[in-house]
Amino acid sequence: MKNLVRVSLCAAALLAALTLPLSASGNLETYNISAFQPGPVPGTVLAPLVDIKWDSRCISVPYAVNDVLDPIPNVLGGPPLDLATATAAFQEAFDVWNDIPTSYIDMQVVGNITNPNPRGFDMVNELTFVTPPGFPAIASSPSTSLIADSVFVDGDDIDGDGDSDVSATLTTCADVDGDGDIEFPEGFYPAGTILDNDVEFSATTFVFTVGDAALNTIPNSLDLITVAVHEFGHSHGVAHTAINQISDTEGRGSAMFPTIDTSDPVDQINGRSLHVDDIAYSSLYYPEGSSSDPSHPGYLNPGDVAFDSVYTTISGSVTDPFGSVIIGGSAFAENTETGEVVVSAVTARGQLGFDLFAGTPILLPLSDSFIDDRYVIPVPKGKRYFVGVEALDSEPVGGNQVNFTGIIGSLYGLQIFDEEYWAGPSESFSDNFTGPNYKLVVNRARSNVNIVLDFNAAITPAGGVDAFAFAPLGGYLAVRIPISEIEAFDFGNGVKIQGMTFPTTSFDASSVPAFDAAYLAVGVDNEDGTASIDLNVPFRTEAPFIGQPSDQGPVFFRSSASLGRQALGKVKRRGQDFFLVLKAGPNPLPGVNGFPPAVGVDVIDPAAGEINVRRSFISTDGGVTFNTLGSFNRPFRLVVAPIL
Amino acid sequence: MLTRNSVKTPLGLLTVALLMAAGASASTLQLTDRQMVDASDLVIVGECLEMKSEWVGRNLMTRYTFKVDEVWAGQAAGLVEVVVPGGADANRKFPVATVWPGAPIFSPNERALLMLDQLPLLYEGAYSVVGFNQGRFTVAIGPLTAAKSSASTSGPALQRRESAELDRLHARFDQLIATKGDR
Repeated sequence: MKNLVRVSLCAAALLAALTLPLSASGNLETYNISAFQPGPVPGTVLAPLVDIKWDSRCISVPYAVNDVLDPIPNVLGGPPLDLATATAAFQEAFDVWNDIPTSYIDMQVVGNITNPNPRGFDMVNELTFVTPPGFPAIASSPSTSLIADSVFVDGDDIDGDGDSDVSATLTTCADVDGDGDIEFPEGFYPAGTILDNDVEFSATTFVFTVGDAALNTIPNSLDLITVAVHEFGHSHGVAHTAINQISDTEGRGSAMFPTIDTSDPVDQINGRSLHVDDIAYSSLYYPEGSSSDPSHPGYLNPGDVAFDSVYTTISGSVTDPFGSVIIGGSAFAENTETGEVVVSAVTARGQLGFDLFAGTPILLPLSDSFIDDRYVIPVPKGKRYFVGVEALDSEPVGGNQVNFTGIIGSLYGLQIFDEEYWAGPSESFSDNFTGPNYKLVVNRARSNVNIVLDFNAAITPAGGVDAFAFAPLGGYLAVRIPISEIEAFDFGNGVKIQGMTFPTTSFDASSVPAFDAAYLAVGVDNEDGTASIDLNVPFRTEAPFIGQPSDQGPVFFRSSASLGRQALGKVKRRGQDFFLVLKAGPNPLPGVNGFPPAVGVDVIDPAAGEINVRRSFISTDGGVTFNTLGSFNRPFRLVVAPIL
Repeated sequence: MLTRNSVKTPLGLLTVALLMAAGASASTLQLTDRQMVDASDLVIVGECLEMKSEWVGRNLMTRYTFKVDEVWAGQAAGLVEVVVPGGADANRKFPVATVWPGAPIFSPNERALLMLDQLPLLYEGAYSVVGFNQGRFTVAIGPLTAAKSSASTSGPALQRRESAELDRLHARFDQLIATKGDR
C-alpha cells in the first residue's frame, strides 16, 4: 500500500503537468495511474493514456551496441556482417531522425556493451542482435516507461538492481558512476517518461544487409538501415501510421508504416528516409524552439528550425451518425495541390482501467474509454488540405498495430466505416458528397474540423478479402449489384449512391496499384452464367483508377441523389442491374516484380455454407463477354445512403 | 509486399493465382492465413479469465489464462496460458510498464479465436500468439464492457454478433486447418 500512496502524492504535487494540452495520438502510449481514481470495476483505477517520450534531460539518448555477436552470422549462408559496419548503419539510421531541423531528438551510439543475454530493463539502451529463443519478430523496440508521475531523488534505484540510478550531481542523463548504465538527474518526471529503450534485431531468422549493392529480393533479407530507421522511430515514441501510399503517383509510404517489402529493393531504399508524417510527429513531440533556455535541447541553435514556424495543427472530433465518438480511427490531411497524404492521426485519446492486483490494463465500458474526443494532426502550415478519416480495420493497418487508443477502437468494433472526407462547416451525417471537396486553408491552428460519418452502407456480394489475385492484363472484372438491394435503403425519400470501392494491392510496395479504369455501368445477368454489361455509356467512369495497397480504393460520386433516382427509376424499369467494373491495364507494373496489380477475392467455402451467387464476372475479350466466376466472389462494394 | 517465390509466377490470363496478402513488417513478419495456421500448435476459441504481469529476469511479461471453449486444432482442455511480452508493475517505488509496439493485450472476459505457438523454454506448457498479435481474433469483448456500452452490443445482439463473427472465422480458416501441414 505504501507504494500506492507515493503515487498519489506525486500526482497531487505536480498538477501542473496535467494542465498541458493533450497531444496528438501519433505516438506510442502507456497508461497513467497517477490520479489513483477508482475505476468502474473493483480493484481498478482509471488509467488515461499518455504518450511515451524521452525527457528533455535525457537528450541526447545514448545507446550501446552489444558486441557479443561479431560478426553477425548470416543464416542464409552468405558473408556475415561485421559489427563495425552494423554500428555505422545504426548511427546513420539515428541521424535520419537526428537531422530533422524541427525536432530536437538526438540519439547516439556511444559505445559497446557485452551482454550474452536478451535485453532487459537495466537503464542501458541497448542495440543487440541477441534475441531470446522463439523471438517472433524481425526487430523490436520495447520501451520501459513510468506509469505514474514520479519524483526522483538522489540514490533512487529505478530498475531494482541495487544500484543508484539517480544523482543529485547531474543536470542531464549520464553514466555518472561509469558502470555502464544511465543515471537520471533528480526531479519530476511525468508518466510516460521513457527510462529504457532497447532495440533487438533477429539474426537467427533474418539477414541484415548494408548498402545498395547488397539489396536483393530474398524475403528473409532486409536492409539494416531501413529496419533501424523504423525501430528508432519507436525508440523515441513514434507509433505506426496507416500511410502506405503517399499519392496516386507515389507508392512509398511513411517510414513508420508497419510493413516493408523485402522483395522490393526500391521500397527498402525509400524506407531509409522519412516522410512528412514521420517528421511531423518527431517534431511535435520534440519541438525545436520550445525553450529559451540554452541548456535545453529545444533551444534554437544554428541549423535548427522552430517547430512553430513550420507546423500547426488541424484538430476535431470524429463521430458516427448518432454522435458517438469514433475512438481509434485514422484522420488524415491531404495536400490539395499535390494529392499527397501528408500526415495521419489516431482519433480520440483513449483511457483504460488498470487492475492493481494483476498489474495489467483492462478495457473499460465504452463510455469511459476516452478522455478526449479529438484528433490532432500536425501539418506544415501555409497549405490547403482535404481532411478525411479511414478506419483502422487492418486494411491496411489495424488499430492493434498502432497504439492503445487504436486497440480500444478495434476491440469495440468501431473501425467499420468507409473512408470519407470532411465536407466543411456544413458537414453532417447525410452529405451529398463524401469525397475530397472542401479545401481547408491552414495558416494557423484549425480546430473543430469535426467529421461526422455518413449514415450509409456498402452493398457487396462477398465477405471480407480472403486473398488477392492478379488482375488479368487488359481484362475486366465485374460485380453485379441488383437494384433490389439498393431499394432496400430507400426509406421513402430515395437513395443516394455515394461511391464504389475496390479491394486492391500491388506486389511492389514502391508502385501504386494502377488500373485503366473503374466504371459504374448497367447490364443484365443472363441466367446462363454470363452477363451483358454496357461499357459504352457507363454512369460513372474513373480513368485511370488508382487503388490503394491492401485496402479498399474508393471512387466518390457527385450528384449521388440524382444517381439514386436513376437507379430506382430508369435502370429498374429496364430490368437492369448495376455493375461495378474494373479494367486492368495492358501492361504489368514497372516495379521489380513486374506483376499486374492484384484485386481482392472472397473464396467461396461450401463447407461453411457459402455458395456461388453468380455475382462476380470476368471478361478477357475486351468486355464483350462476361463469364461468372465459380470459386470465389469479388468484394467490390457500392456505397449507398438513404435520403432522410 | 513480401511474397513467396513459389506463388509469384505470373499465370495466364484466365488463371487466377490466389495470393494471400503477405508482407514483412519492420516489427514482425506479416503472415498469411496459411502460414498462421501451419505455425500453430493449438487453435482454440477461449475466454480470458485472468491476467497477471510478472518479471521474467529483467523483462515484464503478461500471463493470460484462457478457458478453452472450442478446440479447432491441436489438443487442449480446461485452461490454457498465453504469455505475451510487455506488462506493468505498479507495486514498486516507481511504477513502470514495458510497451512492445504491436504486442497483444487482452481484456477480462474477452473471447477470441487464438492461434497459439507452444513456448518451449520461457514457460513450460504456455503458449504465445502466432505472429505476435496476428493470430488473435477477438469475437466478443465480454459482458462487463458490452453491457455498459450500448444496447446494440448487449444481450441477444451481442450473441448474434459473436456468432456471426465465429461463422466468418470458420469460413476463413476451416479449410486451412483441415489441410494444415499438407504443404
